[in-house]
Amino acid sequence: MTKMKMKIATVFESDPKIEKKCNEFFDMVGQSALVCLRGVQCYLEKDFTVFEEYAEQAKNLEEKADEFRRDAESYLYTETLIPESRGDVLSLLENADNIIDQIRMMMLAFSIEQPEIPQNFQVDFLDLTSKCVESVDEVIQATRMFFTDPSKVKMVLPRVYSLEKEADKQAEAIKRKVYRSEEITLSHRIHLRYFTTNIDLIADRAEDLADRIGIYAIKRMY
Amino acid sequence: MSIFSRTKSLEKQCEEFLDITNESTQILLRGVETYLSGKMTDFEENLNKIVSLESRGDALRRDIENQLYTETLIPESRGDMLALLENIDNIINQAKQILMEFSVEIPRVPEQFHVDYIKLSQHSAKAVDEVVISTRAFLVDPLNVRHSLNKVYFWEHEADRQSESLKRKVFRTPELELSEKFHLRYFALHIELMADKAEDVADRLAIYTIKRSI
Repeated sequence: MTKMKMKIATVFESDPKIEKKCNEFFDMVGQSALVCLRGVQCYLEKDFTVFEEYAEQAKNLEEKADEFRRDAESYLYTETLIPESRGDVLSLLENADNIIDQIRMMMLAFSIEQPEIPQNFQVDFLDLTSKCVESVDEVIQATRMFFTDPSKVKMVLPRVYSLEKEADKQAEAIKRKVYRSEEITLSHRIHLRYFTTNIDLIADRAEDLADRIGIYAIKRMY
Repeated sequence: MSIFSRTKSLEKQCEEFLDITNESTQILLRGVETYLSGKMTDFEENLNKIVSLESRGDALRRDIENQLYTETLIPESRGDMLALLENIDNIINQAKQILMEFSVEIPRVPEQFHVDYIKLSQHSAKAVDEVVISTRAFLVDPLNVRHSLNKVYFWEHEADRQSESLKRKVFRTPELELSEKFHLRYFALHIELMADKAEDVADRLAIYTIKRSI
């Protein structure tokens, strides 16, 4: 344990700039998840003006995060003092970026396609979004832990996996309900399924990041 | 030389993971057939089987991955093994996903398309079977997989052709609504995707073989 802690401490002690960069990047992922939840809430409440503000915010965060990630990546390869872990850090940044991309894509799809969500599905959609956002929150927490104390990562990851499973179950339940609602036409069902899948994909992206962190944490410890 | 020359228990677990992959495609085939013939109880039974197989596959994959790193086994190829396992896992996930979608969305598949859907499922399953054979060969003798890889590419191509012909037929059937055409296309696409995932694994195997031959 002491040996492992020293190894990790050395990573950031030798290069505090990269720690700062990574933390700012993960702040953006966390913010993006909150923007997504508020955006979907507003959409369901038919507050479309405020929804569009959140969609714009998700777009800006995604663009800023892309720029930030590229900058961090080029820094990792040109100036970093942690060559032994830069491949892992790079992969974590890219996987975290996939979460922001998915959130932006989902918000944009709402903005463009303006799906009509029947009243009796509103709670379901909000519930699904909350679970996905929570899984992102947990995985970001695990990522921060990976940089400070990888031995604790194992305690947080099961939470991410369990939230991802709950999101899957919720998405499946929504789709079953949609396809069994006789008052909804087939084209409308397909549209609702598309949005359910796209929200659920946020939790899948969080799970991908969790898988990477799990492996990298083990690599650091042994 | 075998990848697992010093790690027999890991080899056994990988074999088990590949058995799960094989079994998934068999269940997928039976699932599609029972759905199309309207035997819904049998269909749901196949769905339950594939759901539990997928979950066993996930647990086994994570266990193998942990062992690769905690016990510093085959350090020279563990990155490749990790990517290989994750890509094979994508095949099992896709097989489960297809049956789950049939169960959730209960698509109406007109009888004139039944044979096409079965053929498409068979071609996709064949691509997976061949890639499992390639992977087994790779684990034992990494330099000798070329022959079976060609078969994966062949069946993936056959699945593509079958899927295209099915979609053309669907979109040229005037008595179907546009939304029904979309729905039928969605299912064709997802069955075909299973062959694409097998091709992804084959591409990786091809690269690892080259890496090992240099």
